[in-house]
Amino acid sequence: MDKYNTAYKTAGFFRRYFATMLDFSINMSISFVPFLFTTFSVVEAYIKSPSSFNVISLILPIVFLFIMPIGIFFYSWYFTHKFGGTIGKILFGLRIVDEGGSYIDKSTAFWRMTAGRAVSSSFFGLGYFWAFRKKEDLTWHDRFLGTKVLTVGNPIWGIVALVLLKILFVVLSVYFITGILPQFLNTPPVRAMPVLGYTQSVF
Amino acid sequence: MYSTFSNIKESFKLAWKHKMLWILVLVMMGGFNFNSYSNFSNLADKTSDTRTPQIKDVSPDKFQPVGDNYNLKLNALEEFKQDVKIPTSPESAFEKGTNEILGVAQNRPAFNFTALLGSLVMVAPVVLLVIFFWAAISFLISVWAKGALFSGLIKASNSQNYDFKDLGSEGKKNWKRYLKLSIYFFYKRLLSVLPIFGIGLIVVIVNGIAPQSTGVNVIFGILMLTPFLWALIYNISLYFVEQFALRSIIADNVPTKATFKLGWKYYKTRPGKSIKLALALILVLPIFMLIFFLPMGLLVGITAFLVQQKVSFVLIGFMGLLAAITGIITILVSSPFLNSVAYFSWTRLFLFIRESFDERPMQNPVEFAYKPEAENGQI
Repeated sequence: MDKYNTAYKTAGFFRRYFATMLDFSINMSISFVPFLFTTFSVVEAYIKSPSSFNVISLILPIVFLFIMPIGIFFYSWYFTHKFGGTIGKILFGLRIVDEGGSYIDKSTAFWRMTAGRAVSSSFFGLGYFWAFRKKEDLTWHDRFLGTKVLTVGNPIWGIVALVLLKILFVVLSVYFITGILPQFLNTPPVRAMPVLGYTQSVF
Repeated sequence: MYSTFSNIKESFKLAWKHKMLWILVLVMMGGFNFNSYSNFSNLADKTSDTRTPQIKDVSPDKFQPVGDNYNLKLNALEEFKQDVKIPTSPESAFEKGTNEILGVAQNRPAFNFTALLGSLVMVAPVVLLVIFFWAAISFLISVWAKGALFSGLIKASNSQNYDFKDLGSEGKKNWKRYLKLSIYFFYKRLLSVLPIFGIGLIVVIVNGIAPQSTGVNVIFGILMLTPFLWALIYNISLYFVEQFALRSIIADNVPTKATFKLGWKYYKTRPGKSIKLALALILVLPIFMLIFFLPMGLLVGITAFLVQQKVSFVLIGFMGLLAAITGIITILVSSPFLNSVAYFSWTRLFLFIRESFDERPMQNPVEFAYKPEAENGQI
């Protein structure tokens, strides 16, 4: 089914906001979190054995840092066109459609993601808050690209996923603070060096 | 009757009335990235400038004893010398294989330079590709914004109604043509500066082959001045042509190259008016910018005065915060507004010149290679 009739209501600001938060969490968990872990494992390996350190091991963190955002960009583009939204939106029961009620075409999806977001982000994100202005719940990128976001289902799965991801982030943060950081802090304290006289000018 | 003064005056009214276009102006300017690169560059410069050499300029006899300045034990330096070996000294690196300062294994890392070079070869293209990808996306965004903005400018100048969706559709429809036009102007500008580089290259080659002669260099200098002046004049003219060509895409609905030719034609028709408008805008806009920033300047002045008077930190912080907020709001409002004024002024001049033609370009499809709207974007 790729046609939505007018029976569906447009989604409100907060539901869209939480769907975006879920997308953000998913994207972070597949790009930034692996980047952090691979980077720390590389640094750990270097500290343990500098002589056997392999520079090629740096490639994986770089891939996570640079390539994954591009992958996420294309995934978002494809999903928005093909399924009417990214995973976060789908789990929150939202669909992006054009004025005819169909999923948006590739071109509109691209411009919505790029130019549309740029438009809404200008003036400190005023374009996103424009959704409060009228009953249509349309942001600037919706207005410019002729799209709207409809509520087609229950947001329960989105809420569950968001809560689980938040818990996961808390667990990972605790693990990072209690498990990984001490490895770096475990080294003997650096002895305080007296400030050498030759660095002090009389002027 | 057209006059530069009335044009600018009317443009101020139009720019204030059509705030929707400010969004597109801001997107074209690059969102919130207000010259951040320059700021970082300046910061880098400052950092490098303020890094004062401490050892170089001070003679050893002017050193103060450490104990005079710091509450150290008298024999602290001696203890330090005894206990700590300099990590880079040969005995520290090779004697025991451990470093007593860091307390970790400090066998000197044997870097595999082949692996380092290999990974650099692998990583550098990836990083460049990623930079190119995001640069291309931001360029496409600005091209889309151009399509939407110039359509809105012409509609607003002609007192036609439009909404968000109309502008967005125009952006989607015309982005290819604006992309081509941008590339075309870049190509023209590049060609105009090539002779300068050509003569520079010849100077280097001649100086390399023959012994250096002041007379020859003077001749080459004069030779270089000619293309430099030509490139300068050509690029200034090209700026005017670009202003008309950007609007001609929407108004005349002609292919890219024909747009360029039309731009020249419009410019040559009334070059005086174009130069006059450019000079007037150079004079007027900075004055208005100063007026807009006056409140912020006053607040900054008051804050500086309070700092000088050593009043309470809370009051200084409050005034500073107020100045910062005023500054941000001023930038957010004044930049798109004043840019809109400039865009409207050029649009009004363009429409005036265009109307002065007896025979419109649209009515002569052979000369201007007119193509129907459905073929927009195709040369």
